[in-house]
Order: sequence, then C-alpha cells, then structure tokens
Amino acid sequence: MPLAYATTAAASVLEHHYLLLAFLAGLGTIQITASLGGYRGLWLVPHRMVTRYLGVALLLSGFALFLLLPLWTNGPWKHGSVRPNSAARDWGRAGWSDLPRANNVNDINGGLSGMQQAIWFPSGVAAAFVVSLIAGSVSARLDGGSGEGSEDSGLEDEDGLGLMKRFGYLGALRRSWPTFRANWSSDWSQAVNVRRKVRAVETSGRRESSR
Amino acid sequence: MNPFDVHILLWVNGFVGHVRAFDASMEVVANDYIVPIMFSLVLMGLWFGGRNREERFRLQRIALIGIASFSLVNVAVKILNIAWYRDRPFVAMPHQIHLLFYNSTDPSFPSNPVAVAFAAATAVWLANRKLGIAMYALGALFGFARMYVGVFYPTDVLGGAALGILTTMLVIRIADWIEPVPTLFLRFMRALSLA
Repeated sequence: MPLAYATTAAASVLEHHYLLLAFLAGLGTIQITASLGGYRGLWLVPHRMVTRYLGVALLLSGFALFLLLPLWTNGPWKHGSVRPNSAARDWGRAGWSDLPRANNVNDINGGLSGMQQAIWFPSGVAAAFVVSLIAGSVSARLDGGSGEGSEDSGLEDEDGLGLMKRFGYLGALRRSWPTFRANWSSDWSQAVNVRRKVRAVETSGRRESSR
Repeated sequence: MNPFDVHILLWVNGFVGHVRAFDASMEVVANDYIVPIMFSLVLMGLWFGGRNREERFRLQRIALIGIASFSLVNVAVKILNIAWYRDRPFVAMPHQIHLLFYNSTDPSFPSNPVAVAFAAATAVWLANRKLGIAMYALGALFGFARMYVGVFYPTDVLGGAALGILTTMLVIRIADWIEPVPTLFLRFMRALSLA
C-alpha cells in the first residue's frame, strides 16, 4: 500500500517531538534529583523546594507536550485518518480522539527505531545537563556559596558532583581535576590490587569447593 | 501456538472495545516511547541520586550496569529472533485479534520492549528495593498493555521479562569481572565533575 505521507518527513517531526520530550523530562529529572541530593551547582533556581517543584513540572510537561503536540503540529496523524496501522494515515493535525495512538508510528513508516531513540535520548539529556550546569553555575556565583544546599556539603564530599553542593561546575572542576591528577597512579594500583585480591579469594574458594 | 498463549491472549484482548477510555490508556502505555523513556529517566536519576560520595559511587555503578543491560538485552533479543521466528498474534489469528497498534513486522518472541524494561527494572531494584518493585510493576503493566493491544503473546512477555532479568544479572557478573574498569571510569568522570 502506498504511503499517504513521506516517511522522512514523519521521522523528522517525531525526532523533534522526541528530542523535546527527552530534554524537558531529562531536565525535570535532573532538577528533582539535584534538589534531593543538594547539588546546587545544578539547580535552575537557587531554592531547593522551588527547584524540586520546577523539576516535577518540567517532567510532567515533557510527557504532556509529547502527547499533545499532534494537536498543533502537522504529522502522520491527520484527524480522521488515524488508525492503529500507521502506514496509511494522512498528513495533518490530530484531533483529541486521535491522541492516544497519534505518535505511535512504526519505524519503517517514519517512527523512531530503538537505535534512533538511543541517539536522541542522550542528546536531549545532555542538552538538559548543560542547561543545568550553566544555570547552576550562575546561581552559585550569584549566591556566593552561602545559600540553600550548602549546609549539606560535608567535607567527605571533596570531589566530583559532590563539590557542586557548594560550587558551580567550573569551581568543582578546578578542585576535582588536580585531585585526580595527583592520585591517579595510586588509584590505579589500588583498584588493580583490589581486583587481584578478589580473584585470589574466588580461586581459593573454587579450590576448596572442588576438594 | 500453545493453548495457554491463545487462551490468555484472547481473553485479555477480548476486552478491547468495551471501555474506550481504558483502550486509550492501554494505547498510551503500550506506546513505543512513553514507558521506555521513563525507565531511561529513572536510570539517569540514579546517576544524580546519591547524597554522599559512597552512595553516589554505588548508584552510578548500578546506572552503568543498567545502561549496559539496555544494550546487551537488545543483542540477546536479536539473536533469539534469528534462532526462532514467531509470527505476531495479529498475523497468526487475524480475525480474532483486535489490533490497537501498528502492524509490527519483527518477530514476536521474546518481547523486546519488555526485555528492556525488566533489564532496567532489575538494575533499579539493586539500587532501591521499593523503586525497583515499582519499576517491575511498570514493566508488567507495559507487558500487559502490549498483550491488550494485540502485539504479543503472554509467553513473549514472560520470555522478555526473564531475558531482561538474566541479562542484567549477567552484566553484574561482567562488571565485577572487568573491575577495575568501571571504578576507574567513574573516577575519571568524577575528575571531570560529572560523577
């Protein structure tokens, strides 16, 4: 059966919608978890509870937009033509009754394959992470490290994301990287020694059980 | 086709058309994008979920295991698809199935999306029992929805779930076996303030 719409055009529309979903939902998830963990270097706003509620709103709006966008954008979901089989739909805007199945399109008809999702999801999330880093760095700089969240920053969290409880990304990077450079040799040998010990224990365990 | 599959599937799929709102809900749950992205988001949440250094390391290692399971389970499904091609229910029983989904052209067994969901749920369960059980429940609902809309047999869903769980358990063993690679990777990410 000939397609009623161009597969490449459908793929392009769905890629945009999916990317928007990944970005908004990813941003929401980062905000929720960053507010729970106190990583203020990732907060969009310098208030923990506002960040958390903003995260929930972003997460829900990502999914809501993804489901509702066919109402306002043209795609393989023209009202009246939307059937479960996505191969023979017409191009246009969906109606309310079409929404549950509108963007569920077979990947051979312009839907996103698992591989495409594996590309677009990390892309959206990476964009969300960069936005969080920038916003968090700005708010950390404005706040001078004395605002909410800094009470969580214990001394044991002296590297990596833990530093973002007190600093923005660049501040955390300036402190984490030198520690890594100074310790990487001992870290490596320590990690290898742990592995050797585990293997030795496993080997002796096998010998014991085979006797 | 075994009688168990046919009987259960026809019973579940037989409810299609009775309550439009329920049909619509199942169509949304069975959607290719909604539930898989929820699982991906939960795995991503684990990355940022730790409150201190040790907890962060543990959760991030589990997130890596989950991501690796995501990939490996897809390979496992492809291999099983090559070994055994099973027609979809709507192909085998075209006049008995009420199809609410597009005509999938790939093999029915095992259910790829359910395998991915259970692989991720198993990883989440390692991190947090309550959240893991919620993810298993979501995976089960996903599998049920896929049966309801007429694209999988019950044994496809059960096979996918088992494959997902086994794959994650295998990846846990592999992660232990290739240690210190995961630990050093996380330390490097930490040096970049990304972990």
